[in-house]
Amino acid sequence: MVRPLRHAAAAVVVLGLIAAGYPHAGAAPARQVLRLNLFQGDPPTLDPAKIDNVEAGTVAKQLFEGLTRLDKDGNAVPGVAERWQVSGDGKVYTFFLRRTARWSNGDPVTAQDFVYAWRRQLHPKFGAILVDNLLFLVNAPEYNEGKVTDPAQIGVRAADDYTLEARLHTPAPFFLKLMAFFSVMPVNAKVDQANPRWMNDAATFVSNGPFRLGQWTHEQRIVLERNPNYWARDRLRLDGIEWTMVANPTTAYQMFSTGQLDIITPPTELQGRLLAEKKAAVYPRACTFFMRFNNKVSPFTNVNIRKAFSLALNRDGITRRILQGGEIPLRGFIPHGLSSGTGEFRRQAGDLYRDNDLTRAREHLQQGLKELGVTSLPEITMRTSNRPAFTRVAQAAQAQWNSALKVPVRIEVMEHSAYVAAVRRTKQYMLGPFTTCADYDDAYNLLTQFVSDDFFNATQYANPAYDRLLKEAAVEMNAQRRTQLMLEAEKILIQQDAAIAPVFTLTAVALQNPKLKNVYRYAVAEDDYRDAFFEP
Amino acid sequence: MPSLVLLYLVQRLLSSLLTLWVIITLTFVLMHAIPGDPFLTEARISPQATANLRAFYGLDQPLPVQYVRYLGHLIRLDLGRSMRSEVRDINQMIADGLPVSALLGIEALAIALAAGVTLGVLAALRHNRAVDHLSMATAVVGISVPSFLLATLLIALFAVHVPLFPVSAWGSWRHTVLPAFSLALGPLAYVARLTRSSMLEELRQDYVKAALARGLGRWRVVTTHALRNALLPVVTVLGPLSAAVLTGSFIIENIFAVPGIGKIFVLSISDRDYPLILAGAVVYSALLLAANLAVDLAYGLVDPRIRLHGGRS
Repeated sequence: MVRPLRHAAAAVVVLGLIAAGYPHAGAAPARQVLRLNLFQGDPPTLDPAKIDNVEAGTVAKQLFEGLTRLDKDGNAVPGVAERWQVSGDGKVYTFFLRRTARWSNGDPVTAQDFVYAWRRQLHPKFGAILVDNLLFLVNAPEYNEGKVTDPAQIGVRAADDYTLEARLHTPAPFFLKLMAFFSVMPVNAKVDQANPRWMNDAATFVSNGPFRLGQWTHEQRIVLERNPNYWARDRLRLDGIEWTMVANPTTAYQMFSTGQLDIITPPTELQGRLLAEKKAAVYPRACTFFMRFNNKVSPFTNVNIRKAFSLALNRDGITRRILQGGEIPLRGFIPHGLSSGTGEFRRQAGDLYRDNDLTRAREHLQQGLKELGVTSLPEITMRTSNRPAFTRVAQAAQAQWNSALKVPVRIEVMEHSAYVAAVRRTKQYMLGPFTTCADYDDAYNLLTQFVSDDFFNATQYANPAYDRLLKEAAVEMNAQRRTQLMLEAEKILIQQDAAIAPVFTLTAVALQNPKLKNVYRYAVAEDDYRDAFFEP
Repeated sequence: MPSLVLLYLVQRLLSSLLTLWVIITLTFVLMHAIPGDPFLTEARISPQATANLRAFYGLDQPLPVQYVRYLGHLIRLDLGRSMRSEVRDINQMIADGLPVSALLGIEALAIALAAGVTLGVLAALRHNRAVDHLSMATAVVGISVPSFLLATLLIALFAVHVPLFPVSAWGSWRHTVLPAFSLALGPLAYVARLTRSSMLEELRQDYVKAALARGLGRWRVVTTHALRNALLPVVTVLGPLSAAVLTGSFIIENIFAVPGIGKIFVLSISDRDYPLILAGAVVYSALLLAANLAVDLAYGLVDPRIRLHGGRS
């Protein structure tokens, strides 16, 4: 009996000696290869027209280039287009493409490639999810719905090989920034027509960005190499980018600490400590976490009850003590970092209420009870998703409402998709936590979901004054006036009507190899690694 | 008698197909009964885009039509397209992931059986001595400690602090060691305890005493005679054990970033990825049915007294 054990022990030792040796965190690799991780796993596709999540979008962002790019401050700068003209009414954009832009197979990037790509994406049978960015074009919504069948009617055309004309049905001041998004990237028309499945394999993948697809091993890794035909290739300092697909945050953290990954999101339990030790950094995301009140269900039909619940929340406590992810308490709806068209919306709007305003909260509660004709509130059930962030905030809010207002709230935890369906589809909820994110860098796209007949108005808020302001803002050409309209709208929504109780601006926490420089991050757009490098 | 075995096999196959059909139908009904929708998320996707997507995936058809269509494809061994990948259809995803999960599962089972039986026999032979107590204590720990906890500990010990093995991913035999061990520990403990009690039972039998009295070597008696009988209960649990390893692999695959199929099937439920949910039901049911059939056939080999058609011996 002892012999097999001895053999086994010897084997373990030998195996161990063979398998030794790994680099440590913070080392600069010999070749400049950026090693990242895709938490959500294998992208469904790398065709920019069909991607619907930020992670896959980030990969596409490095593979493709749009008409514009964003500089490190988030301003639109030339990409494939070297310059442009905008008509006086803001509805016609003329882009002049640079003649040095090339696809990875050597073909020149032409205006026809953009026209082809956008028509393809808008086709109702194509199955694209993020068409919204193109719906500003004339006839785009109608074509996508099938009401218009001739793609030539869509407001985009190639005046010549290097001149692209885009016509919008309503002015969109953020249009240039929109053109940097992965979802509006061009597609090589010749390649797509010859082989509609070019995107399925690295060997046939053709792109026009700083990098090209070297290898795609499903569920395992994606490898990008420098694109030798990229017009600004001399500017690139990275030799390549590699993504692994580790879904478990703890495992990714282990890989980061053994120097196998350069950027990760640390596990939530460690975020507080890492931020306090200044080892990780916080980046605001243009997303609001809020308590949604069902404005059509009692007692939240009453504005004073809603205000009571909103003012009784201690947002500072929730973010600093409970979540510890660097989230920013919100005293208004629009999250930090989002543009109003003339500056940062939140900074221009200021605070619309005080956090943890218990005295006022109690006053509003009494007022509300009187108006409802009751002495105490009926049992209140807060539904929530089972996702950890949601349940933690729900429990914190429950405790706060109990202690500040003496109102007991029952929590009902639901599976995430079932919860979303209950709120958005059947509207069967009284109140509950929710998040909403901006799709592009302008406050307007977050404000529309409270318009009374908007498809996404799960809050069931209805105020004609609010509707009017947004309708005006949609067509307002003057940027200053437009900002004013939106600021007023937010005041009505939050300060006057307390339709929802915003809690905080979501943040992204990142641990990064200290030798890695020049990674551009944005509140609403994907990370850009074009100028990134490792210092020695 | 080969023809009887053949008859048995055919019977079992037919009943398996029937079982499979019932499972698929139940899954289909249940998954459409639960609230939620693959395209209903916090993101604000325009109603038109959602409608286009539903049509693209055939979800705009009435349910009976979807059901019949699905069965039609299934008969042609086409499991359909998942919403998870535009690039690979479900058959391709399974072709890529199943061998990986299978390899991991087989490694784990092999470790569990080899080490578990060894440990159990040792404990039985040294009954009530130090070895016995130590083995059984290990077994208790193995059954009680959740596999994900063990996995994280193993990574911390053998991949980070002492970099013997890679932290995660797949590619060489080294990548399989930590995941296989993590997956094996629970089944190993179970097999050890089972072997021990079964072995103790056998060693008390008269034929063992008789054999020893006739002068047969102790070692020969234990391995050639007693062990063979003691292993019968272990063969019995191989079916459920394979099931445990198959289903336990999701957590291990998640932690070690192993590109198997466990992860995609579990995620399919919260994603409401209907074709993939159905594919998961089909694949796992087929595997379990096959495993149970294999176990039943193995009985016949291990114990000649057992006849498959359950008649006279």
